[in-house]
Amino acid sequence: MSTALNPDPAVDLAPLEIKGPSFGTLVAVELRKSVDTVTGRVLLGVLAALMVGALALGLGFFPEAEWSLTTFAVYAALPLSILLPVLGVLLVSGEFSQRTTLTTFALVPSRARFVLSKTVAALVLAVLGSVVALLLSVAATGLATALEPDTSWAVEWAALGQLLVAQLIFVLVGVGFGLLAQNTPLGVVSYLLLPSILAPVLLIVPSLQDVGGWIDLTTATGPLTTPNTSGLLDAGQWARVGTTTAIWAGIPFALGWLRLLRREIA
Amino acid sequence: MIEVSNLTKTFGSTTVVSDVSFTCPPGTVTGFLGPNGAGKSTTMRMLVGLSPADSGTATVAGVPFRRLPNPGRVVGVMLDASAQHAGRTGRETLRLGAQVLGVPTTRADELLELVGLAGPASRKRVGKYSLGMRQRLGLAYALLGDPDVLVLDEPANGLDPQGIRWMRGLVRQFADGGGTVLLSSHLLGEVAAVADRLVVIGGGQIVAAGPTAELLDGQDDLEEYFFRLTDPTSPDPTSPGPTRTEGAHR
Repeated sequence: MSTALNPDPAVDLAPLEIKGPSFGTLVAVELRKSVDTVTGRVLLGVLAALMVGALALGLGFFPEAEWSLTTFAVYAALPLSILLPVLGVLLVSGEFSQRTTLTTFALVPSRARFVLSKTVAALVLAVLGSVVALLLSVAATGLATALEPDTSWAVEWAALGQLLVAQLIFVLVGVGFGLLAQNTPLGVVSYLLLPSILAPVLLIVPSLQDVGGWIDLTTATGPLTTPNTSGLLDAGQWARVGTTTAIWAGIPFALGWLRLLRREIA
Repeated sequence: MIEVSNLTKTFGSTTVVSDVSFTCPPGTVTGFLGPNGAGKSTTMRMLVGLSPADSGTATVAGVPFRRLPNPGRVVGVMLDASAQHAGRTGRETLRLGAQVLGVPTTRADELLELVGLAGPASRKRVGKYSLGMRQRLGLAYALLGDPDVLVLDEPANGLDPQGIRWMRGLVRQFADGGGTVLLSSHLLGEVAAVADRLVVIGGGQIVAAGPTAELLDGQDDLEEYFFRLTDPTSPDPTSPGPTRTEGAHR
């Protein structure tokens, strides 16, 4: 009993000399938090199942002429782009909904380290998810080749790169909404509802019709997730991706950070 | 060592903590007493940097909490035993904490043993824990970084009489080993048995502070004395108290 209370008094350092966790440790801890709870594991399991399902649909219903590694990668990315934002919301808002901020901030008081380690962990999750999607697509392409020997194994790096950019944007939007809402149901629901409320408004209000493409995230990121024949997006399309990302990820992120700095942790 | 000087906090037009000052020396257990809503939790939250103070300062080991590079290695904090992720197991909760603190994973297992949550209980999700088990886990979490100081808000809450006795033994041992303990309660009887010193707060102000024996000397009815001290409507709340603070005269 006494060993656990006072394990080794001889190595006591002065309070300011005891180093805190490195940023890498904090990111690793955040990643661990996303898989060590029931919710986290269920969410990741559902995500994997949906990716397999999307590929199965592609194999089952799409014309054999369209089969290729790149199109399979696009199918597998679809569930990812739906669930990554939810994962991003949860990563941040879960701490508030579960009230673990009380213990998290008692070990790492810096709000900046909290926000940044979560953001980097979310980006890492998006990359890992994309890698899994690609590996599953390779498996699907292998299966497709067995059925149809002409299936294309050509890797369109531009298309895959743009898919990854889209996933990174989606997860950042989730992190922004989670940080602003600081409440899981509110964060998830507003992420799902706000764009679909806004989309018809942008279509109906005449003065907004021209700017819709600069505001609506789904429209702007569409070219990233549905590869065109010419490969890369043009400058105008990238500009739209940039502005919508600033609106949907940047603004909630900044407001959420401000809110965090001012709020009471209880 | 904990030093709180002139902490003040208002929410809107309500002053919840007003000019609160006290010191907790090493090797002692300080009982922080007051009825619900008196400002105990707010003071503790300001002490550990979870709530910004309007004015005043608070330091642990001479340093403001938020300036400590690794605060969990200096001060163990338990403000609410229920503030743990319900979907995580008790053991995983402690292992995560150990990773952040930079202490070996085995430390998590040692503490599970210490607080009586080893074995099957450690593999249960916290959501399935009773309040008493959460209190034990919270205490283990606070002790994880081998701190010199403990800040515990209502640690006896939800514990059965045996558990309360166990908890008292633990904080006593911690203080006897040179540690500093600040623990709050709304029940005088709960802390009088273990606290060397008492700080009594009522309506956001310190109404009495000093060594337990001195404060309670000559009081034949402890609960009655406590009510008189902390009730703001009481005509002269401090008349029999031997050690008073200026804040008591209102």
